[in-house]
Amino acid sequence: MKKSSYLKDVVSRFRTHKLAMIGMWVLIVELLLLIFLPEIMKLQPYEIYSGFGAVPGGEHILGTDNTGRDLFARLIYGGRTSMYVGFFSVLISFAVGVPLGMLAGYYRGPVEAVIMRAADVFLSFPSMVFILVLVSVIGPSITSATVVIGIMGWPGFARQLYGSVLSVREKDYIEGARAIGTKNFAIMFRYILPNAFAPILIAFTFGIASAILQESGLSFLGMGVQVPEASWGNMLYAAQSVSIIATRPWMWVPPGVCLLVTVLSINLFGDGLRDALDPKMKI
Amino acid sequence: MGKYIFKRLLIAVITFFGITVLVYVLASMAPGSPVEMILAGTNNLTEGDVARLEAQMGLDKPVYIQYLIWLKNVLSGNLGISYRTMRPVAEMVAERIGPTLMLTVAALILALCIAVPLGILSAHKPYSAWDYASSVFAFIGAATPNFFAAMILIFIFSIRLGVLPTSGMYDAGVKTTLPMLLRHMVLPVVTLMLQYVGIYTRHMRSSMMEVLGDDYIRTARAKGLREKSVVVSHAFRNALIPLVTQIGLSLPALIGGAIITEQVFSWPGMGTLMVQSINYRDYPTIMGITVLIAGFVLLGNIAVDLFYGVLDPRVSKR
Amino acid sequence: MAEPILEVRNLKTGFYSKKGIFYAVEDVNFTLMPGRTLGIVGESGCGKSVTCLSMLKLLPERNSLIEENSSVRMHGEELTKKSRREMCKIRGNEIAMIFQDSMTSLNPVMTIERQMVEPFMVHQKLSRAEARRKSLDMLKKVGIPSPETKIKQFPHQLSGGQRQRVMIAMALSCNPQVLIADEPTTALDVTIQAQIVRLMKELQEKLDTAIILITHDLGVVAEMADEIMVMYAGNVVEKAGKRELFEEPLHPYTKGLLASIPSLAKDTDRLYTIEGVVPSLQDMPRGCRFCDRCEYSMPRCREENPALGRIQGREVRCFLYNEKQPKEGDI
Repeated sequence: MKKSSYLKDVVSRFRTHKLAMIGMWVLIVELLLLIFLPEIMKLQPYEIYSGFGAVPGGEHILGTDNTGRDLFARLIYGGRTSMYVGFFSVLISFAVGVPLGMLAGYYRGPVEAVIMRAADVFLSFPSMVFILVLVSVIGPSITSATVVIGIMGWPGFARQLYGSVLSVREKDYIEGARAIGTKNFAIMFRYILPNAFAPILIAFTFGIASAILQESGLSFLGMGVQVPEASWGNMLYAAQSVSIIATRPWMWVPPGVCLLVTVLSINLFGDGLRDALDPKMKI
Repeated sequence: MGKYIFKRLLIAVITFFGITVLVYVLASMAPGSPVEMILAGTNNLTEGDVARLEAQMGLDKPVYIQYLIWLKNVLSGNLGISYRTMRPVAEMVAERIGPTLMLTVAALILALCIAVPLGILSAHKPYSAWDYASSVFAFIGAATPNFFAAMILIFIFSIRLGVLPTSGMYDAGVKTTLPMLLRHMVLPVVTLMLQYVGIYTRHMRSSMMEVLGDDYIRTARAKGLREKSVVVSHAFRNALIPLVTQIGLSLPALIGGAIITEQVFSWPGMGTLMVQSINYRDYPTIMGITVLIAGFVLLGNIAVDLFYGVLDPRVSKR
Repeated sequence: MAEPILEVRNLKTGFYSKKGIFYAVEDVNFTLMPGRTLGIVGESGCGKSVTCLSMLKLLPERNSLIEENSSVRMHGEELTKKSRREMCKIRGNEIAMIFQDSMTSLNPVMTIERQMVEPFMVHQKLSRAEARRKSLDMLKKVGIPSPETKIKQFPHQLSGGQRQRVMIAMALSCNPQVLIADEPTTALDVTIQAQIVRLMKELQEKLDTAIILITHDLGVVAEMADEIMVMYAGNVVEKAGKRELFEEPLHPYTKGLLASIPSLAKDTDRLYTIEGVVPSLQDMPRGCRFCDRCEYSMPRCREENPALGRIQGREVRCFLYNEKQPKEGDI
């Protein structure tokens, strides 16, 4: 009973957030396009056509790149890459950060000190630098970008969880559960995790946006997704010379705008989600 | 106050060591041994040559001893020899510090100069057109990858209007002057700053609004102070405190942004050196830059902490 | 008889919300004579503070309004129509205010000196050095030990009692004719409370200041006030001299309030409590606002809200005493 009315409240609060609704619809449409367009239009992102550097129009909606690949096909596949890297890297951050944060909050003492100090070290250092060093060691690819960005994202989740655990661990019902002999892990999963659900969902959403930005940055430096794989970042990487910027804006404006719109929509969605889930939370 | 500073310094030192350990571990995972890298291209190597060089470089010792030797060298200013240029890393990096600092500090100061007044204005008239515009700007700023912003700026100001240069710090082949440097700085600084203007404005707005609802503001008004002096002498300093925390938190990302921005504008800073070194797998240089950046970020954090202590007299008590 | 300093008539203050305007204070009338103390008593949320903040126009303009025909006159001058700039000249100068929590009511990042010199510099146009000298005088007057050191310190370095003394010193620095004290002793220890009350009485005698004392602490009112106004849910329900009110409370709410004071003389096991809760602003009853909790409520109480009627030189808002009183709006 109570649960369903909470959900109803959340949904109705979210609906009043106009920008968040716009963000959500943009994302839904975008995801549908990314999933179905390649099938419908028979897009060939890796095929090298004869006329390289073709202008937009005719057979190739956005023309072809310097080697003759269809730019529109690459734009769509680049979107798939962004979504893939964004989602799975945050999943990795989640999988690493949540248990660590929970351990730190629950056991305190030296475990807490080591984990939270490590989180500080990661947070007080430019993650871009770590990511670059790591990629240079394991070699650039979609997988390595996903893994590296994911690993670098753990402190955010760990801190979130740590905070949640601290705030509930002294509550009476935890004491009660402990008193009747409930195992530590059972306590964590049954009582603590549900309490942290809202902030984690919010962190997850914003995490995807920032992971997409990081992937594109990494690819823009030539250290992320490698050609022939497509990514919005490496499309911009290929178009960064002044002559291309000046004469062939169709090579760099579409991927840039797609990145902007995607990240903006996710952030707006996340903003609405935060307001809807917890009206008391700020910024 | 003394105790507070000491505590912050201690944390900074621990963090610094944490980063060096991490960097060392990462670099030692890299494929290929340093000896191979150095001797690459040399013919007629005997096993003895390799072993001698390994011993000379301390590579026959356990890893933690190697780390300590490296750390000792780093702390005494010896960052090793670059595989790529065969020059001392310290020397190479030293040339790059100035340009990077110039870029980041200018961007940070400029962002604050714009964001602080804008935030106060938004807080003063919340839900006005101004306020709305600044929040749209903040959202778009935070969502725009800075390399894309850089390309747009280049397109507008360098290509269409032809008023600003697209790369480097100076024009080639002529005597360098300060106005020339400033002209070259405009686009990279604006690129780097864009993201932070919006974020800082929103933070300034929300902390200002919160402060304006505080009890001591009501006291100040009850004393008969004009609204302007209430804001300037009572609210402003209190509202800066959370903003300073935010600045501290965003320092690492600022450096990350600088790497990409330097790359777009071929700015001869640590970022471009970093990217070159990674392309060449020049590990001594990579490690040197990383350690140096860590040092700078921590110094920045200490500066933020000090400023924080100056702003808030209660801090030393906490 | 002397001229009143302050006359409040038909004060009605509301707040905007999504569902319309809600009135936190309605139909408040009182007169303040020089050198006298008016105590305003009531539970939290009954409109005591809103009444005083409205008088000084200190409520946020964005979400509050003071009704058109409300009137606050100081020496015959209407305050509600004054501009912001004119109000600034009155606040802290002619009417000063001290607040409940001295920890949050003093600016945490400014020294005592910087906060104390402001009224002198703003209202009396003194130089910083003169203002500082005067501030030191004030600190001595309110009994702060070693004022030379304390003036250089920050609020968190002072004790609660010292901070409240600083608040009082600051409020009295321009010799205001009216001092509004909003729960001045609530946040303090009992012993310190007594000291602060004594201090305020002393200063009142010396400076001939009129005081409006807002509190829910009947003990403090008994100590300080000459006249008492009891408020309930935004209405004045009873107004009487201190002696009359304590000896013979008329309104059922006042009776309840007095009965709920613990007393050593009476041998009771349980403290008296008033059943129920204050109605919220959103759903004020049509009739008397107290009728749901009232032991004496009659059918008529549910239908209409009684007006404040005069009886034996005091005022009370209850049908028990003035059955034949005119309906609202006839006055």
